[in-house]
Amino acid sequence: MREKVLEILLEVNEEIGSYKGESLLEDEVITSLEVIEIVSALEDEFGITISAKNISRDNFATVDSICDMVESLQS
Amino acid sequence: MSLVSIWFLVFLSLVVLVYFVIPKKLQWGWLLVSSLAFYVLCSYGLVFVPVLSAAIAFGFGKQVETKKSRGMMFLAILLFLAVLFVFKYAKWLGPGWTRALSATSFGFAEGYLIPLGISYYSIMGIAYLTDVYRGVIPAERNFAKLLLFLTFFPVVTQGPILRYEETISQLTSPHRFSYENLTFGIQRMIWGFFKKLVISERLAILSAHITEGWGSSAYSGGYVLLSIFAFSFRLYMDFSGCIDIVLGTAEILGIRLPENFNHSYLSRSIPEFWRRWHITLGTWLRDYVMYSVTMSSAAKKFTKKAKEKIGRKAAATLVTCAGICLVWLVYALWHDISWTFLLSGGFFAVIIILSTVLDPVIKKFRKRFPKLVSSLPYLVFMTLRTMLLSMMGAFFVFMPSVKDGLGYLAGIVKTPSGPFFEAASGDGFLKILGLELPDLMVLAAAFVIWILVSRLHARKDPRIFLAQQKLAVRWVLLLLLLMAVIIFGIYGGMEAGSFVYQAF
Repeated sequence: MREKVLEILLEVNEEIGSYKGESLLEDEVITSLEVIEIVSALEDEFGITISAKNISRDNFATVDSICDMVESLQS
Repeated sequence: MSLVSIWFLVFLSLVVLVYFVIPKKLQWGWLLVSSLAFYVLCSYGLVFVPVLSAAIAFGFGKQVETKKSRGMMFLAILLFLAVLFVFKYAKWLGPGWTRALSATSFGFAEGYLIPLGISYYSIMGIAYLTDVYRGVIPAERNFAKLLLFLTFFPVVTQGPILRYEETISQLTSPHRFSYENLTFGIQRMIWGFFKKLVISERLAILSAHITEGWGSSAYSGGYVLLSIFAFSFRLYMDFSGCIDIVLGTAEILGIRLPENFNHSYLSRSIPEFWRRWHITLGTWLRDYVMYSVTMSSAAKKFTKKAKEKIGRKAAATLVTCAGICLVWLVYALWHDISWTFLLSGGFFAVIIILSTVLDPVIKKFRKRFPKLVSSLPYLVFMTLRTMLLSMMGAFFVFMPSVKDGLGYLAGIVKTPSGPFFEAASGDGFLKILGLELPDLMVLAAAFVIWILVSRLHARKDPRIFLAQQKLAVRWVLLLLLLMAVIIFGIYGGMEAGSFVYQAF
């Protein structure tokens, strides 16, 4: 699953691959538009529903935290 | 009672003294009593308005949590907006309504109809209810604690906008007296007084002098530009100075509040500027308007249909642009129902939509010319461009009407002429600015100090720097700053007791 999530993220924004910080969202690596693109792609790919409460600093901190969010929404 | 009055210092001293003397379990209760007393001293009988707002949040919060009812949440939000509309936008309900309010004995008077901080505690209450619905926080079971969260006295004047989950445990948990908190808090307050009383009040004279005389042809060309700069920096110094006083006050009590400014005028784009200016309002709009709309089921349905026809990127762009428009509409209405605010909101919305749409092009440009985009002239140009755009948008909203605002901006391209222009040589130049030479010298020196402290702040907290100095150096620097406030501060000027953003 991680590979697929990473592929979606890199397709939207290449900088995510080299990001080493603590929060993609708070450090403004990804814009509001890119968040919406990512959410749309993740929902299509994994058949999940991502709501406003999921768009948080913690969930969009790193690639791993986005994977964790997808995993928790799947279960 | 203004935050820059001697009475506030007396009030704060009493609050702090009692806070650290009484048993710790009574501390938050004392904070609530102090906050309500502060509100009564500022807004007389209008204290019932925040109590009403807290009652709505408290009553509906529990219902929203147990029933997981979106309808309940919307009803509560509508009630919040109704209270806001009735008390803040009363003038739009007609003169009969304002007369009726003035006739009550609750402290309404002509020209002073708005209960202090209503815009702030209303949106804090809306955020609280939304977070309860989203399951981010539990509903508060103690009405008094929720009332304290909404009326905490340093914040009620003009923010910052607090989040329940970040603040409530700080407000209600016991705090030990800390010498470091006391000194750091006082130092931050002195810095706020310096920005407000030494810089902002002088800029207010300069800005008002040119703005009020703009009808005469003398105040055109560079003078218009100068007044826009003066007004914008005045707004920044006034607002951020107040936030320094608020954060310093809370720090003395051991409470850390969120920052509201981050060197706003060093931004290199308008989206960046709005992430550094009035930060807590920006994040509120992002979390409770932008994502609420763009992540709604209606927006998702639209995106799903649209992406089949125009592709995912274009569909997401359309939804994002709609979200941005709504954010700026809410931004404008939150301040006031006026064409100038709507136009200003529209101005920033268009720039941010353009930045969003052109983001891929901008990224390509940065990748193609890495040396150019990191060169000093380019960075200076981007900073000045952003400064000018943000100042024009912000300045505009304080003009009496759209026509006046546009007419004033058009004055930039006119040449100063007439008797005023002739008087503008020599001493006449100072008269045109409305300031005496010593005032201009104080202003220039204060700006140099502000720039030096800001540069230091970019690397480390100036208070930590101060604490690392020898005792004598530390006290000399602090006393000099305090003396500057006492000697060069403008007291009792036309607006010295109030803050620009207090009106919202």
